[in-house]
Amino acid sequence: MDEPLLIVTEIERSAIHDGPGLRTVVFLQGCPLRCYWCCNPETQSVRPVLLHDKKRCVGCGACLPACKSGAISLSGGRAQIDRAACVGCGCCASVCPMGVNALSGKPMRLSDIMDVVRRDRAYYDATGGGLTLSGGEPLGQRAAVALLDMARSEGISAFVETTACVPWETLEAAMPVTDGFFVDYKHPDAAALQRATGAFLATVEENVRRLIRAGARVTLRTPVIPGFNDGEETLERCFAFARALGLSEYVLLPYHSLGRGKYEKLDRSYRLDGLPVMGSEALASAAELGARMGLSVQIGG
Amino acid sequence: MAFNAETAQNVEVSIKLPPELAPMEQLALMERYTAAHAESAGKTKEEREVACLRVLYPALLRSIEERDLIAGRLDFLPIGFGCVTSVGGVGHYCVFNKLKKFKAQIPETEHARVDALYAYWLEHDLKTKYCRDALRDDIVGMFIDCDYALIATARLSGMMLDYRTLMDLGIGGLRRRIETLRKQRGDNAFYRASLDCLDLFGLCCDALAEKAGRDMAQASPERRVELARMSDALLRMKTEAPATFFEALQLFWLYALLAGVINYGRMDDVLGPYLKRDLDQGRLTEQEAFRLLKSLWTMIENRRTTVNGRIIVGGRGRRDPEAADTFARIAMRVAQTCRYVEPQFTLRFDRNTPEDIYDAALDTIGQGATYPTLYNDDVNIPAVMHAMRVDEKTAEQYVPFGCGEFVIQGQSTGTPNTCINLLKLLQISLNGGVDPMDGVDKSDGVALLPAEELKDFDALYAQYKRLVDHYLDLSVAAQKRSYEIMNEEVSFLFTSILMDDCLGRGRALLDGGVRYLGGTNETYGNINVSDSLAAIRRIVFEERLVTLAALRDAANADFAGQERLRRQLWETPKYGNDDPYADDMANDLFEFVANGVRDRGIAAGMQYYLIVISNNQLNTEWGRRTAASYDGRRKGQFMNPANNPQGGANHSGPTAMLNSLSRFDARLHGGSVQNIKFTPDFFNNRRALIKQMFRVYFDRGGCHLMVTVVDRGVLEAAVERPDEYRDLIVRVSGFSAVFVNLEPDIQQELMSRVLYG
Repeated sequence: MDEPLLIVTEIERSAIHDGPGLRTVVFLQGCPLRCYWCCNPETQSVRPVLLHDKKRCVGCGACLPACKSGAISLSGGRAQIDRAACVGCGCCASVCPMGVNALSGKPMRLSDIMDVVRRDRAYYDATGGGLTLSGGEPLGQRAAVALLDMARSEGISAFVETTACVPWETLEAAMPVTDGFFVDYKHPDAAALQRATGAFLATVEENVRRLIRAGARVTLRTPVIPGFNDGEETLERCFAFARALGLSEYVLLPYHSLGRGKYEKLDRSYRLDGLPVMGSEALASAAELGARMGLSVQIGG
Repeated sequence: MAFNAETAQNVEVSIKLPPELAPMEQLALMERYTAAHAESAGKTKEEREVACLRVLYPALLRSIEERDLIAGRLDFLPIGFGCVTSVGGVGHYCVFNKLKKFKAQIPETEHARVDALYAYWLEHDLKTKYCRDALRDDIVGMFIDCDYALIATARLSGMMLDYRTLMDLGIGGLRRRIETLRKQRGDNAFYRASLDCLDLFGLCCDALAEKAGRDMAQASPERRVELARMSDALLRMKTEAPATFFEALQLFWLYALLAGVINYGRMDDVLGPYLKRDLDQGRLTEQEAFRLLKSLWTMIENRRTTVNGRIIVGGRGRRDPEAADTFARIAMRVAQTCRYVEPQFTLRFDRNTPEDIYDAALDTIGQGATYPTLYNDDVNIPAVMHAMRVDEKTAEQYVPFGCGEFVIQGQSTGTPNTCINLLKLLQISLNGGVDPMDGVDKSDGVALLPAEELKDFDALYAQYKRLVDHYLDLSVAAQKRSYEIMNEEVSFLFTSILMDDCLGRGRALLDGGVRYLGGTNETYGNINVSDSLAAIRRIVFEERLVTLAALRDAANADFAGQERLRRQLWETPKYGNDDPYADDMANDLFEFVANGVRDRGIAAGMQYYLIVISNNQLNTEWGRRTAASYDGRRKGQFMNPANNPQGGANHSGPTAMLNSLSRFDARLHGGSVQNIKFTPDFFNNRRALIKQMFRVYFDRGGCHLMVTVVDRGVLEAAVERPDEYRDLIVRVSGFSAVFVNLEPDIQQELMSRVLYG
């Protein structure tokens, strides 16, 4: 049987915000949610997608003949991508002299991924670090659990950053080979959550409950988005959910705009244009609220 | 032309203080020096050296500054005596471009006097003699002529003296030792001149004591106590060994100054026992010790030796580690307080280094001081044993000087008198011997096939190696010749007195005196070459996207109209990402060059001759005159700094870069500089992780690390608004500098380096 593949967005080494110690984060393509603030929109599609940096395009036209789908045309001195026609083959990336085309999503064999992960083994051992799967929703790809298993079988710690909006069976399969789950708990109101992200609160909450009941190490995190879930009452309900599950820690991730440029490269509009980056001080009172409720609240990853 | 007397001779980043003597007094002094030199033509070189030094000392001693707690500031003029180009010049020297500038300061009626000096020294300046003898048009150039692939000079850089013996014996004890040896071994010119130098030392003590005494009249009561302390110590140390920390400090400082050395060495080992005794016995408070060291730091800073000024603390082989660590702790606080470019404060450490000292070092670095720079004894001591062919006890006394070359303190020379541009040689080897930068044939007769006839990677690599081999032959010859010519002219007496085994053998340093005659060859463009080779292998021979000849032509045209090819080259695996494809190539090249230099040194009868992958700013300066390369680097762009990746090539995080950095076998080089840059957020807020990250790196064989901690955007802002960033110190590579004083393309090179955080 062929070795399974994962569609990898990126492998980030020396990561310090995605679990304990120094970690290698493997970002995987594909996500069931469509959060309107998503900072990694290129990972939403499980299929490779083209990032086209149109600001740097000089309109030389080298990519036109390379595109087998006829998805590129020249307009206003620059290449235009017909997103409906683009199949994400990446042929235009290698021919571009300016390097303005890049494909997000590269099929990789698990053993090749592990070859990279393994290179920082000594740093994991020294810092309590390891592998973290992120995305996208990393558990959306079937082979993700196999990768976790490979890491664990080599004694490398494995963490997962998940939406928990996946079938319970997926989490259940991941659980024995995962040291910790970071679950995004984005809103305590089902309708609000559904509108903003497409997620089902009941699924998320039920999955979290089952993980905890089964003894998994779970950390809830809320990306705090101004105007969506930064109200005190909302956060209080988030904290209450955590407390009801017996958790003592909580993570708030202040909104940042690092994903903005990617929307432009995907020919998508960014709904939060102009929204200022949130400083960690803006969440100080929320952290105090959490503390009053018995939670140790960490601001930022 | 290989030689031009007026070329700037060294990297001068900092502006020096103008001499205290008035221009006409300076002229008279230079004339007296020249006369002393001319009149002693028939005498021994030792007698000549003493006669000339007598003109300089004590005349060039400056006044004691109001803030100085120890005495001893020294000027130097365009003509004089020295060891290195950064303070004065080498041997009996004339710095012609500075003499020319000096001429503009005096009345026109006196210009003929300067012209006469100029004419005399054109025939007698040591470096000029060397250049005329050793340089060759188009092949071996002078420092720093960036059109050449190999440059060579005569200098005695990086001497670190045996101050422990100086402390143990004092000047009086040294004198007695020389007298005894004279009787035992027979009198000779070296011994006699050494005694004359010690007399001269005494005269300088008197002169400084007099200056202190003179200042006392006007001084406040507190200042009077300080001046009296100087005066008393100066007078006592003419004969006596030091009894207190202050006396030891004063003795060390004045000796270093008169010897013209600009790296100081293991000060904790030398001064620690005096410091601890004074503290224990209540003769000195910690606060006063701090003040004294701060004053030393300031005196060193004021010498402006730019890429030198090494003070080293920590590590194995210290006589009294506990006392030395007392010194190290106070020095660490001083380094935190003083935002100076010099001294280059250096920590040697190993598994047994007290945790608080290592932590204090990281704190100091975290505050943006760029110091201390970190040297790993667990790797370096065994490495030095092999590299320099010495035993463990000797290797324990290794000290990095200047930009990162190692010597054995008090026992070896290691001056880097040759620098080689490995990248230029790659281009020359692919262009039938012609440097595409200027169209000049620099093959020196090495037969080279055109690129069209190099059918596989091995053929290409073998041809490159043949050219490098030839240039390494030239390099070792140029280094050896520098010692011969220096030895014909001078004895470096003050230095010789405190270097094993000069007194014991009755011979000056380069006359068979020094125990280990070593040297170093600075290599540049190492990583550009290995990345180029990896890119050629991938794109030409594996993927066959372009022929070698077409690639050569594209690079020669600076990739005009070939941006896609350039991008493909740039996107092939690069060193610095822990990618074996690039790193294996880098290591293979490293071993070839390092062994090539080392083997040649041994064959030439030297104790060692080693590559040093250090860096001042020559990577940028040489890059300006180096054609576009096959790694995607553009024509005229900086080359990679030290052992680091080309700026921006490393994109895989700090652990990946550290893994790449630690690939090379430290036993084959004489110092290799490793830079890394972090944001304060990462470095200070994740200190526990940083500490472990460094520990892993050092455990994996990392020999050294120098860390710049700087916020994102700060360097860019400093370019825009230099006035607001006058104290922003950055690590250039082998040395630190005030960022806003650097030239624009050097600033660009620094900004191009990846910032982790």
